[in-house]
Amino acid sequence: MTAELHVIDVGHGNCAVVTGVDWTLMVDAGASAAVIQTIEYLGLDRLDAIAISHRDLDHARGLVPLLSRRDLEIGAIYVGADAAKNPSAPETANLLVALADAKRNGRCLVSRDLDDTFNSETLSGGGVSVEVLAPSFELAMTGPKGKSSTGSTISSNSVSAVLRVTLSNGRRVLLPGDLDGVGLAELLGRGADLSADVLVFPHHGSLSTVADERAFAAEVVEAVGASTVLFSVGRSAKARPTEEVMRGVFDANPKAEIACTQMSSGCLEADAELPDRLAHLTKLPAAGRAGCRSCAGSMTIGDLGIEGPNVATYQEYIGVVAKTPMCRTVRP
Amino acid sequence: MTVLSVAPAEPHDIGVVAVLDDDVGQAKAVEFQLQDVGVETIVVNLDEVPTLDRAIDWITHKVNAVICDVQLSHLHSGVSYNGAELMSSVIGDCKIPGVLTTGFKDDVGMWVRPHRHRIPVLISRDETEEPEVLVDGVEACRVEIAKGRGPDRETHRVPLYIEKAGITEVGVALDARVGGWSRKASMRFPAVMLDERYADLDAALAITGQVFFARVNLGAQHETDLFFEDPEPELVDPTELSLHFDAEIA
Repeated sequence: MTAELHVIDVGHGNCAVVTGVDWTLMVDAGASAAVIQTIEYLGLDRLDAIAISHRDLDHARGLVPLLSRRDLEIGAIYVGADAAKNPSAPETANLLVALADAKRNGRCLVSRDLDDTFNSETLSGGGVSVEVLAPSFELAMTGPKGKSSTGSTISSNSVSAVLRVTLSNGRRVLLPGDLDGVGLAELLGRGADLSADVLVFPHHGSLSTVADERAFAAEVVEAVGASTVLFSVGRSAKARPTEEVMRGVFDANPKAEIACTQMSSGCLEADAELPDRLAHLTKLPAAGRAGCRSCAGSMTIGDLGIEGPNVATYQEYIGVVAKTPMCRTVRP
Repeated sequence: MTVLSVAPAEPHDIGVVAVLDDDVGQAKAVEFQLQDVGVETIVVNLDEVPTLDRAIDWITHKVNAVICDVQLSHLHSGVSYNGAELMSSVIGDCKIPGVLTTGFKDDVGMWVRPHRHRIPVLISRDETEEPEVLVDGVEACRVEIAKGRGPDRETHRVPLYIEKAGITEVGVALDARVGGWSRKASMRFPAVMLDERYADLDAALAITGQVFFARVNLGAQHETDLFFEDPEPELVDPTELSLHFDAEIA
């Protein structure tokens, strides 16, 4: 068995499952039944570790149903502290209580220790190497609501863990969570090497907190040098990725391969009629399969690069269904 | 418990069906729908079954399945139980399949929720206009009786955040957000399901904002399908788990 990284269509949010030899890592657990369905589909009875990039619910809420599955062994959960999250908000309260219960009752290790000083071997295994590139120890220790070394306000997104996963075939995938301008500046300021073949673009391709989305996107893609850029997006009225982000991606790499988990409303209006079936999807569970909201759906990165969806039928699907497919219309 | 005197129905044959509803016109409408697809039905005269025991006795002797509305005493003051209580016993204890119907979504939280774990199929009154929905519902219930719950009714231990407490015509209600359930909706249920002491509104109000654990069917598609069992009495205050929270940015 070779190592694979599955990018799961969870709608708006993130979830990646990395499978190696007798070893499994989940990075982020978006709020979708597709998370549990993927565990079942892959026949997993153990997750050696779950790393949550940051505490936004579209990355962490899926922890609760995972913890509820007594037939699923979990080795450890790594999730940073976040003073910007209101513990009286229902979903955050349930997440906090579930984590506290898991830790106190010995369900699994629950650790807040996830920064660039983290021992990478802890998350690595089964032929897969995982590095934690961000947040820096200093940024994590200050935390959301604090100030960065340049005086910027640190948000939950600023302290997103940035993980680089290197599969057994040498292919590298960068999972930056919701990394924002503050986090990126901190990373680039200390000369961090972000290089990877595949980038799951931060914050679902929309960055309202950065002054210039296009410049941010170009900076990220250039720093990573990725040939493939994936967007984990839900189909909603607000277009994700934005056209500006897509332009920035192509500014940095005009030949970048692009795929979105769900059909962006920037490519087909949110209220437009969708087809009644998606023949091109992989068999992996996908939140957008119901209602045919998926574009590429869930994807697997393995020996052959992006394995599925079927490229020919996928390209044909985009040509037929998307009115303004940004991966084509924006490309220079 | 009374011994069944009616032979078990064959697979895909739901046999004789009892219809119970305090709205006789609605009961007749359901009867017509079922007769249209060749199902023999009996509209039960509620005067003959004023108590839960009498109703169960009648059903176990005369029919193979039951279609029952939640409201049995709204238009018929002589009945001392509701449809959810009856179906809970009929399905859970007597192992006779059936479908619970309701014309009022508001009834689900306070009337049906305490029994939903034993009632696999709840449909709206509108859906009773489709006889196939009724027949399929009876069959689905029969399958659960024979084989146990399917994936959408399997329960998992999760936290439930108590969002609100309030008084209703049938007692104190709690609204809770179910951790891990994929939809952002609250589940209403009688406060006494958590503990008898919360029959008192002040006691119930005092636990809003706290979290308890119970086993919930996370595979439920709709709020009306949700139920919980094995609630744990210990309550957790989530604000005590986050020491660095500043309320001003909430």
